Amino acid sequence: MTERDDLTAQAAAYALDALSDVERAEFERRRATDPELAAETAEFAETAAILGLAVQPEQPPASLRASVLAAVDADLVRRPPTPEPSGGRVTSIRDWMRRPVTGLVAVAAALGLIVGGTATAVTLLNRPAPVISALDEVLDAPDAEHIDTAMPDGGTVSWVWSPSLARSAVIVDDMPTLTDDETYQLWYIDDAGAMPAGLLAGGDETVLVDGRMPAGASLGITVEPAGGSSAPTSEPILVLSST
Amino acid sequence: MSSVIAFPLHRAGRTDPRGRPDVMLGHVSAADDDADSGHDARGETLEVLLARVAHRDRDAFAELYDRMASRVFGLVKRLLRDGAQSEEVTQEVFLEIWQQASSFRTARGAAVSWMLTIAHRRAVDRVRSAQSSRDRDERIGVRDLDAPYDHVAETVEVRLEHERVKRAMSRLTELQREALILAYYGGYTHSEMAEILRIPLGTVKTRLRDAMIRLRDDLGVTS
Repeated sequence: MTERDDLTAQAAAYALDALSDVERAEFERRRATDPELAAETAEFAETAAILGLAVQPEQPPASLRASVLAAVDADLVRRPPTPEPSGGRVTSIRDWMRRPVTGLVAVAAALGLIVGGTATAVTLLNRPAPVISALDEVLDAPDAEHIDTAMPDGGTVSWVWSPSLARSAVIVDDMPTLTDDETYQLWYIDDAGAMPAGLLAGGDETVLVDGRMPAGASLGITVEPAGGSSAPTSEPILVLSST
Repeated sequence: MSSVIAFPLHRAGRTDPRGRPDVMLGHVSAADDDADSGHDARGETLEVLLARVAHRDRDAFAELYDRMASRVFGLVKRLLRDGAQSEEVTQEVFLEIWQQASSFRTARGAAVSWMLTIAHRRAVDRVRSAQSSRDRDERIGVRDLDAPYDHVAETVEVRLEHERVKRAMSRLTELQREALILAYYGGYTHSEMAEILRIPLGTVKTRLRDAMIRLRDDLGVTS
């Protein structure tokens, strides 16, 4: 197989979720720097989704609907939506989409406006009940330790971790918000390198750090392109050591 | 207390299964003309609903749930079989949709594909966990497309989609079809497939690649 053939094979396997976790991460890193591969992967992902559409739908029990909506309600209580200045825009876009002109490109551009405008407003704190209780578990852990630090450009960052739970949480206050194209990203760092550990929008937030915290790991924060990266693409703005 | 340390770059960090869906999607004609996944009676597309969900609109989310729950649950249960586990994973999927709606980009593909991608990824993550791995051999097989299909209970759109994929699958070689079914409906990694099928990993990769290329071209997926 040529290298390109092999990449195509990886893209196909990726779209089918047939890569192992390690292979998946490696592939995503490669894809991030290879637009041709990204486009090919997107086509395969759509193809795989059609396999999903071909499966016979089955209505889940009504109790599941109640449970999902209860989690969403709990999340909304905990963190109410901010008054939506562009609410009128959503309506107008909807009206606009009813016009016969549409065409996907125009719709995409219109939706890009809406979605892009909220990119930084949606944070990891917008989490449903199961994750929030995990967050409480970390914050309330008997063996929880913490570091508090002030950022050079304003804001404070506190990192709370529990060795017994191997989980941690980050609390930020007045963290400068970024442009829509960027996001703060958290990383667990140990001898082996940096592992992606979730995104941070800035402002005031309390978030559960994603994944298991390796013993003795440090926590890094970088600024990454919106959506985050599978490996850091910039120098960290902050690294906190747990040891 | 805090200290700045060197920052090692570029290690293959494990992708957090709870993380954002990091899959870009191309356009798919299937979803565009699928009434079930496109427009509802009020003409609101799943794409618009997702945009509203990104604004934390509960009503939009409830409507999205009502329109997608049977799709998501059906797919998850196809992989997991177990009803209780399928319900858990379906809940995870919808909460991820709630959290991550703002990361959906229309330009990259259809909303229905984005949501099914999340569902498949989470179902695969669950199926690979220790608890659920023991029944996996029962799950695989051509029954996934040849199983008795309850035509009466389903909408025309779903039936057409099923027939369309079945036709496209029938144009693959038997070996390609087997590989595709093991991967997508069985949730196996290509390394596991090489063991099960007792063939070299490179052969599995080639089969999956050729199968996906053929299916893509046959189903008319373009980006």
